[in-house]
Amino acid sequence: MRRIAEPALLAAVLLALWEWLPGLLGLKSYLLPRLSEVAAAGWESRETMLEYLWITTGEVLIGFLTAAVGGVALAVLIYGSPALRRTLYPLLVGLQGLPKVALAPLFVVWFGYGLGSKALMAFLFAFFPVAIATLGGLAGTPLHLEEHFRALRASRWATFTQLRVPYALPAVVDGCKVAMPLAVIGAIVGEFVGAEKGLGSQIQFAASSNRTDLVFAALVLISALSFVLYGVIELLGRLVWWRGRSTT
Amino acid sequence: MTIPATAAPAQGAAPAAAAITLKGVSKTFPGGMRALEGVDLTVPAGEFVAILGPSGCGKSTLLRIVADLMEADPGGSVEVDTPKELGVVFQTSNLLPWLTVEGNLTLGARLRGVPKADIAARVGPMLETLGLESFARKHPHELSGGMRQRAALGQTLICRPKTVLLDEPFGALDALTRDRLNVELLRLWQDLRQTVLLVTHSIPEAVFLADRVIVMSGRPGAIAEDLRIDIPRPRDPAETRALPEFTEAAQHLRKLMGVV
Repeated sequence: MRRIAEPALLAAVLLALWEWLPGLLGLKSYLLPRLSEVAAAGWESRETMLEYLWITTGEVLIGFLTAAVGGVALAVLIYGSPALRRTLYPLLVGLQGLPKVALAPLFVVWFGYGLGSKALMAFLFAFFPVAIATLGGLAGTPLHLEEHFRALRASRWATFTQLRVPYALPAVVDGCKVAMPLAVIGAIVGEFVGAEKGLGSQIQFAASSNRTDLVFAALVLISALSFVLYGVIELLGRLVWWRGRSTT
Repeated sequence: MTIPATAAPAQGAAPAAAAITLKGVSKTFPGGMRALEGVDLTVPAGEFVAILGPSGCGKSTLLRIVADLMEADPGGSVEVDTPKELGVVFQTSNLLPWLTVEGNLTLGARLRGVPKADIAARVGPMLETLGLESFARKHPHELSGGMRQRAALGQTLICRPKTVLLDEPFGALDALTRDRLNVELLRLWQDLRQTVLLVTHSIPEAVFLADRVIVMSGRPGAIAEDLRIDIPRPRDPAETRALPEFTEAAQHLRKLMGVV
């Protein structure tokens, strides 16, 4: 009960503040529109908003899923091959340092205004945390269990699939938890730079025409999207319930 | 076991055949730490040998060398009669937290490719022997330390190894549970009679279980004494500890190890 009641109470307080504080402070509504104004604006353009939400969700999901699969795959390759660890790993770390925002215009040039450039942006933002978390998880198998598998005369493949992978899964879930909101940010950044549709493009469009209420409506939807997708990962993460369980 | 026609008949009939033969085994770790110095040891098939020594005397290193988990220094020789039918039980139970007790119990057999039907036939009796029937579907974190260690023992025994290496398998348990598991181990072994190499730092445990106690002296580890325990088999778990032979052997070992 408290798990739902307490955060709901906090949210209610914050929403109430949003409704009453701008008026008390005498803020003009184009600077900080009240909650009811935001809700009204959002409802008014609900069809566009839902269409854009759908488009942004698609970009986020494609970007995130490819990042999750690709990040895990690359981590496995780097873990399994010393040559790749020497060559690919430093390259990956170096590329991670690039300001990805600066790549967005390039992606638009290369892949156009559609889904591709946004999904790629989401992928880029989400990829690194998954890969690093997976690598850490794979390398974190306790030595006494590795020795145990050697004593059981397990093959390298069996040791990998039956020991290292299950052991790494909680870390992979953590990586996905970091990556999911980043994928949302990536998709929005991509839309900022060049898109005709999507919540990010709506923010730009609304801001340029002083529709602050619509900007906030889009922000609320983006944050709700991120919240729901994170919740899905959280729920899926409960499947790896053995996190932190002692094996001694 | 049949003797191949082409083999030299030197060893002849059991029980003289050696299960484990170590000659001049030494071990130096990277960095120069000398863990073992010229260890010679022969364990005949079916014998229960305890290796007794203080912490850090190299007894676990010796066991790892026999188990082929570690290489000895060049020069010595390590021969295990049936290297493929060798099982190890460690001090930590090493159960996988995501598998049930049954899953953990059968893990070793599955990894070794024992046929599924055989595993299915063995798992029930093994659970029963270990007193874990009602825990088959539980996970390791729902078990007590003693139960986990029993499951670990079962994981090795279900593969039916000819040689069992025990590395302080009950070392992390409280004294009461440890005594109880020793009684169970004695019962189990008196039925199975595999070759056992038990590493321990407990004098009563060594005397209670073993045919022979090898005492190791510390750094670098070397064999200081090879003591035969002349308590007849099968030993009665209740009475063995009260026998004069038990007391005598234990006292002798205590002196040897500098306890008294």
